[in-house]
Amino acid sequence: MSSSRLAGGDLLSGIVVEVKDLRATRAFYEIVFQHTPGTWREERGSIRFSAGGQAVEFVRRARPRTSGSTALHHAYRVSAGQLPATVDALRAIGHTGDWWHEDHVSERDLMPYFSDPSGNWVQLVASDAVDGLVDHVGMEFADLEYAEDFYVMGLGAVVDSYHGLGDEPGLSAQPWTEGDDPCAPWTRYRRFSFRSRTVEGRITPQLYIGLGGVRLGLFLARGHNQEPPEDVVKGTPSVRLRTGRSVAAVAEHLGGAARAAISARYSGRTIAFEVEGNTIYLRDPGGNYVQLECAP
Amino acid sequence: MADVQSMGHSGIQCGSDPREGREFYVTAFGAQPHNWTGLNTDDLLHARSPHPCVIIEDFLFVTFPHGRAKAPASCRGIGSARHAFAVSRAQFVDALARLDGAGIEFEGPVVHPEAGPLGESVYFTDAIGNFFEICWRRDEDREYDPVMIGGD
Repeated sequence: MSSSRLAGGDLLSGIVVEVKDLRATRAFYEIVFQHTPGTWREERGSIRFSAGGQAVEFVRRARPRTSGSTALHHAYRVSAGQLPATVDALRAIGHTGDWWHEDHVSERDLMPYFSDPSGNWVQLVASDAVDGLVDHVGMEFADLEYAEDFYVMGLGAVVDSYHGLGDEPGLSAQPWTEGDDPCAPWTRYRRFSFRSRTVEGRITPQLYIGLGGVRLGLFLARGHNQEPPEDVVKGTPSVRLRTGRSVAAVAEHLGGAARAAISARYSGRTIAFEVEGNTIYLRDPGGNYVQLECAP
Repeated sequence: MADVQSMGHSGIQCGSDPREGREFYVTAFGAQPHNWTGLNTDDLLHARSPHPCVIIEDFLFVTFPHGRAKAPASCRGIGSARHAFAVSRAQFVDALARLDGAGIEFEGPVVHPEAGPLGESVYFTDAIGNFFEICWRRDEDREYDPVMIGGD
């Protein structure tokens, strides 16, 4: 099975987010999702909101792994007409929020970002699309090249676009450096230039990939952060992908062609995964967990 | 003084988009993409900007993004300084077909004097005017020392 065939039926079926307090979480996200037709379900230790074939599950953790200073963020679609009221409602309960933009061509205009009660960055995307609750997910990696190989060669993603690699016309970190450009903080960084002997602003190297109709933003980490153990492939927070392929076919691909491609590029490395029922659990090179829900 | 075996690699500008720049070497020469510098956190913290490497047989190109986007005036670029790659006479036909297939405009094949070392050459440039030549040598049976890349 080629990687492109694996990608053919892939869809984001949901995300799992770690939170500290389920009650506060629900109060926050009930406002975010108030105009989205969907259903809430409560279980022991978690709550879940389902809409448009996707589900966002919030799992309670004593010390939730949240965005912190990383690029981890979840972008949810909010009806364009209801976006101002949603922002006002979140502000009314004490969430000030920020208006930022990012570098993907669809994110050049200012959009509202809020930190949820546990510290997960939430981006509200004005959209009247009816096919999905989650617009995109941003994640961070200490090795962006390896991350691309994992998702493209391993999971069959397609490169959508990239920024911060060269001198892209119309894109500069200079206005941000001067305080005139409200960018999401994970899209810019400062560094000391050994050439100019000054501190310069730079655009964070970032790669956008498509899996079916879903976009994942892969950002280079601007500092070292603790990652989960490399041999643990099942955990949260996670991204859930759905594929029309059988678990046997996907496992064969991951253990065969994908593994060979990765090990050819990175000596001794492989793609570790576990199968449980019709779900395949993986940990990507950034320590982000991925669940592949396969066809029965 | 050290004994120099051969030229090991070239650092070369590749236009404003290093991914597109890398792709030129893949399509024009059948190069293998190697690694990136600057796409991991350690490099970022050491102020290394992203730039990819490609390998053409035993030769390494380290490509650097640069905003220069100048259409070359001719297939012989600007000036005459160039990278010239030798292939066998049989491979030369394949090289031309590769350039044709990729839509890369080239000059030639230019036939060289029979008494000289070169048989034929084609000349072309990348999108920003870097000048390249592919040729076959009349002494193609001569043995060359391969260059080691990456300590292999």
